Amino acid sequence: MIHINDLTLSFHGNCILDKINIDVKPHEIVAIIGASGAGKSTLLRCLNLLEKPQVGNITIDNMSFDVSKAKRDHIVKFRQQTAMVFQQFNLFTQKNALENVMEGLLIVKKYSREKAERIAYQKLVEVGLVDRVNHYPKQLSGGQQQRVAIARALAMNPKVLLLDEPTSALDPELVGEVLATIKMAAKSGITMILVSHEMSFVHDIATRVLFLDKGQIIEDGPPSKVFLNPVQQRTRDFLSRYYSAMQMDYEI
Amino acid sequence: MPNIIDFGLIFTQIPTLLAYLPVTLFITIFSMLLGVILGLMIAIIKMNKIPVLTQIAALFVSFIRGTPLLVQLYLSFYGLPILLRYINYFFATDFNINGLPAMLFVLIAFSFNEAAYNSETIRAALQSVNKGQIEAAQSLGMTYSQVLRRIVIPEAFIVVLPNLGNTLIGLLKGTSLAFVCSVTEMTGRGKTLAGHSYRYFEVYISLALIYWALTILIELLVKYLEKRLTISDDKNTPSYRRGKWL
Repeated sequence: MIHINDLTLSFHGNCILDKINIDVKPHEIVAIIGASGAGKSTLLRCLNLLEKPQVGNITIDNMSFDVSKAKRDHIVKFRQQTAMVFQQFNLFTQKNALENVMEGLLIVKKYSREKAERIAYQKLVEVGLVDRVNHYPKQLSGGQQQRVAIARALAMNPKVLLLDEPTSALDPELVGEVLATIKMAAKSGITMILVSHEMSFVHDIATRVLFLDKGQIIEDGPPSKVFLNPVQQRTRDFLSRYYSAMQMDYEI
Repeated sequence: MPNIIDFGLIFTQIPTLLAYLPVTLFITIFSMLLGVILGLMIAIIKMNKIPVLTQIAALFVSFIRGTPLLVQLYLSFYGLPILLRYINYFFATDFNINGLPAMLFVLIAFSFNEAAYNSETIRAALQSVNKGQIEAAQSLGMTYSQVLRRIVIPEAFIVVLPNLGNTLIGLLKGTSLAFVCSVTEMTGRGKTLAGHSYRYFEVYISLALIYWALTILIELLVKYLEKRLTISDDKNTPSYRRGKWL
């Protein structure tokens, strides 16, 4: 369903992504893990062209995009196949929760106001915010904001949902509600690619884990394999460092 | 008590002056609207670094900000007819140069002046909008102009509002220079009034009071708008801040 071919992006001579090749099947839930600066977020942002790779080809559901021949209207069209959830929520601060979810439906999908409102309301019910439809972003907690953002993404009925560290900016006690919402979306069968540092969550939800290191995918497999029996030494180092950090948390 | 100052006259001539308030307000509002639209266009040109247009815009802003408003009014007043004469000559058109209304020169001068000053504050406001929101809008599949119209401009408007209030006040008082293009607005009318009564001081006191009152009104209006557009932090009672007219 998604084919990424030779995706390469360098920034000021530094190679951030080095000939990435990934194939994702429908309904797969792919988690990208790796150290900071490995290029995880950049890779995700390339998929909806918020970053402009220099070389490569991305195909999503038969719609192919050659990044070196990017045209403005083609970019806009291509983006409509994916929806993105950001680390910093990025809700529209001047619009309330309902208007946030409606925006894409009205402007991009050109739905009537009634239809957009009905879908938006339905999505907010699904993420458990029925009593927050009239609240503005700054009147919502971080977890609620992120749930609105997920509703906004899902309302667009995307072929792929992209999540860029959706819980990294949240207070620990708010992480759970957002993870539960993502899980709910996962159960609906949508194809998902997420970048996350929540290893236990990744283990729990992902059907496939990619380990990204220095712009290359060096590990690719189901979570049981990548977490318990990684092939590469670098993956083992990363995971052991991660687990020891977790243990220190508990000891304190 | 000697009749050095005619206190009664200060107030009794206010209605006569106010008869020309519509002219003052027309110049102010028209120039403000056109100034904001042109200023927005210049800001967008500069932000996107559109070749040639950016340089022209930079030159325009630099010139307008570097020359007195009074000089700009004279340039408009004397320059436009000359420009038309050239156009008539080179394009064999037949514009009636003497038929140009004086108001046109005034509106052009004030609008351009406003546009130059507004362009910088508008640009700063547009650039203050959080990049994350722009990315979120783009990722929904919105085009550049949709993002600008639906997300960036509404947000920037709140930032730029106090500044626009300031320039509006400056503009209102600036309109008192319109008489140099032989447009009679409030101050112009005051001059002719004083010319008859020789009560110059009283007229200028009356004018000062009117401008002052108008300025206070504008300040109140801007404060009200700001209050209406600001979202409260209260989590329990969300603000339904948008009324029917906004």
